[in-house]
Amino acid sequence: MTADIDIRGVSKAYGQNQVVHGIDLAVPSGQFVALLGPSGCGKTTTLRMIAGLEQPSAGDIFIRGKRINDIEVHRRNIGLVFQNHALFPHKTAFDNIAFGLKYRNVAKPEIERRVKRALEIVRLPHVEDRLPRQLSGGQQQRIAVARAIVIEPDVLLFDEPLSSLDANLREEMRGELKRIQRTLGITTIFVTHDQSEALSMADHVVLMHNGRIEQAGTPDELYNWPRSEFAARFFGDVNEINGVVVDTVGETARVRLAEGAVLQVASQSPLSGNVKLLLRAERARVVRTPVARADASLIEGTVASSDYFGMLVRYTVESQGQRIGVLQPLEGSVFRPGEAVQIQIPNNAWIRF
Amino acid sequence: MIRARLFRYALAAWTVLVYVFMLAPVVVIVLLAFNGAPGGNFPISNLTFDWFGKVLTDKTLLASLRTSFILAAAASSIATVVGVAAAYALARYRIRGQTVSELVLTLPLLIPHLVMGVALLLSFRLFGLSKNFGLLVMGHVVIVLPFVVLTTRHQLQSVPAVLEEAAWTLGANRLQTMREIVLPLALPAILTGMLFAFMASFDEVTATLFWRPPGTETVQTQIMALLQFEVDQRIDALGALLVVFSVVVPFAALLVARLLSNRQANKT
Amino acid sequence: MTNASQAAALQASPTGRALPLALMAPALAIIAFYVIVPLVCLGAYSFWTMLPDGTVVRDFSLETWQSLVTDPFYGSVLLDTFRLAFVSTVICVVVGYGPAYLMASAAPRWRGVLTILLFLPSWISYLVRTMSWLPVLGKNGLVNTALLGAGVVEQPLPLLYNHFTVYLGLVHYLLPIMILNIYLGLATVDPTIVAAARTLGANARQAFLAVTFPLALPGLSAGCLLCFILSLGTFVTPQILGGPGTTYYGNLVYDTILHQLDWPTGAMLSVVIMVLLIALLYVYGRFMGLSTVLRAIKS
Repeated sequence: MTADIDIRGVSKAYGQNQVVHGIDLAVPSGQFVALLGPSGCGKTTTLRMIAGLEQPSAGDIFIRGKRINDIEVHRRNIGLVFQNHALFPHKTAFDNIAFGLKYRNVAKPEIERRVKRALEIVRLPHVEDRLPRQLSGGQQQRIAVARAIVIEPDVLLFDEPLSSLDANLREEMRGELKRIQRTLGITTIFVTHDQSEALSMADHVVLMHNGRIEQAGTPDELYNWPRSEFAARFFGDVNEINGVVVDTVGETARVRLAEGAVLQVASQSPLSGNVKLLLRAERARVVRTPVARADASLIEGTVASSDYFGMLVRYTVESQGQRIGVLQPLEGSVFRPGEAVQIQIPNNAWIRF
Repeated sequence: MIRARLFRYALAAWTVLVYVFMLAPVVVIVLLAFNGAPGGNFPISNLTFDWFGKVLTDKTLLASLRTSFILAAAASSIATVVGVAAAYALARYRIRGQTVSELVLTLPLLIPHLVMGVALLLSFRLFGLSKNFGLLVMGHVVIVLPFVVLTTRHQLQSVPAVLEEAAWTLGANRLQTMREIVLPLALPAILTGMLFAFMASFDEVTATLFWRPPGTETVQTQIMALLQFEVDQRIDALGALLVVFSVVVPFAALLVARLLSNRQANKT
Repeated sequence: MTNASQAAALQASPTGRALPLALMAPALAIIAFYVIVPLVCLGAYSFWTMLPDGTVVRDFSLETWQSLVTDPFYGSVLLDTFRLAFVSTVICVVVGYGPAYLMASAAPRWRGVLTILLFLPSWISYLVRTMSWLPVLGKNGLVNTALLGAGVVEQPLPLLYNHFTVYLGLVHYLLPIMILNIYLGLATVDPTIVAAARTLGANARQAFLAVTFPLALPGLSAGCLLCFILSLGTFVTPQILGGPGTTYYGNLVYDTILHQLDWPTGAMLSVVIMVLLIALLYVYGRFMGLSTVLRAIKS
């Protein structure tokens, strides 16, 4: 099966500065892929190389089986939605959207039909004659999307399109973009630094770090089965606890912490010596009246602070000489600072590398 | 507090004086142009348009006006075409030797017109060329080129490169993008630069004195000649006309620019 | 995405490499042919000599240069011109700082008016502005007519065609440029910094001297540089407003080339002024950085 987008061994260096180190990526047709990572990880550079705005220093890029390295930007059939919409300020919404069609020798009545259809898809049917400055931020971004999809590209690329919008708008647009992509079925690469965006929108997430692909997989895989500390820490709220292995009973290791408490850690491979353990905040539970369980550890602590998020509450608990963050649904009343509590952590909640 | 207010008033008064100083002599010329009294100068009596009439019917003066216009138009056109291209390259690309190129392009601003006049004249001689109108135009091009480059470069940098990238991804090649996106957005700056270049060429005196072919006079060189020999009211009238010209044109340009941008905003 | 990365991107694409050079070539070529080559010719000519019959000997010789040293006239003219440049610049600073300051601290709506009024004179041709002093200072001019009429003097004062007139005319020409540059320098001073100084206990004068003036210095120095450069090469002003007793460098060169037809000497004199200017720019660049000059030139 030929992937729609196939990147093989692509690198990019600016002088001495190596920004992308030989990455490989194959995107099947119709898939929504998120390129995720912190700033400077090379995700935007990779996107721009696919678009043709940058040239790879090494490697090949194929779209639908055809090698496009030497094809100029304007001849690649790609739709690119920029971070700041990049609408032409001196043209109306209609003219902006129609722009790409003009250079594909599409007849005027057909242009009209396709532009109107694009506006319907992005749910902005009545703003054709407005100039970009007469539109709101969200509307501008939708017009930018319409402009990119109307040319019926092989591939749709998004360069952090939502980061300049405010929070509520961003949520709404996430759903919109996902819906549009589903409707049209275009293979899509979406660059973002926001992990929740990637997790909620993508079929497939590619996590990048320092110019390399750290891990690639479904959102579920990346969140629950991270294969490196970087990947684990990138998603959600992660605690780090250090300890020394005391002994191992079957598949459970017992680890002593700084002030003497002992944890039970489920582990498939044998543990020994000093270990660094990672724990997602939502896997632990702060309880008042602990019930001992074989499959969970209990450690004592004092509530340092609590942040109330409506349906969730995040506790910072002082325990074993450090602060541990715990995220849980609100049951009853909020634990107050100073209260003595116990944290319950299932044995298999620990992540270790 | 009172001291601050007094200081403010004193400063304002001083500013008024300075501005009057800068503008007054010109006002005098304009007034004198209407002076019908014989012997010119003051006191002013008999307001009349006679001198304007004499200027506008004087063949030599009209010829020099025509020369100035043609020269300025030619020089500013060439400078605009060449300068905008260079400004675009400077604004969009990071080339080796960029700072050197910038310096070279703005070099004429730092060289006194006197020296330019002498230098180019001498090189005509050296290469066996005789003075001709073409060389005069090129000399003016060089003098006004920095104006075009500086004005356009500044404005071009505020047309985000990302707009060009968007146009490319949509299928327009470089030339089409230039035509449809860059030029329309940079047009105000280009026209302003061209206007500056035109006015700069029109006002040029010193170097033109060195370069003009025999028999060719621009308005400026003509006035110089008249001042050496015969100072009569025609000069005042001519001066007044020039004043009106140099004030009206930029204002008109501003108005046109304002009107155009308003019209664009009001479209639907 | 920064502009730098974008620029790099544009440079990297296949068609993009030759393009910028092609775009800049015509402009650079024109400057090379019509400025750089002529300047070189200028240098060459200065090392040649002219014989009494008018022919030019194109052999390398320092004779022409020697006359710079041996003939005291050249030296005195140069000195006079330097003095003219220096004094005019200083006068412009003293006269112009106030209005520039007012403009910078004025309310926006006033600032617009003041700016236009400032630009107005500079749009009007240099020549017309200079010659406008003739009817003002002449024997039958505005000043004399007023003075005679008021009975202050019995004879018209000879106000024209002397050093005083040249200085006056030059200052008149340079003033808008100086004011504009000082204003630009002042406009870059962040008012919140000044406010901070005030809240820390400085009064208005102290705040100005300690904060505003130093921060606005680049504008002031750019203005001084420009005015100085323009004064050194000034020709029209002394020619029109000066008399037989006032010869400045510009007149000297004009005379030498177009009247005496002594090209080697004229070339030599031009080279001298160019060398001085380059030295000036170098010193200035060392202290202030050239970018400020370029910014200031943008009218």
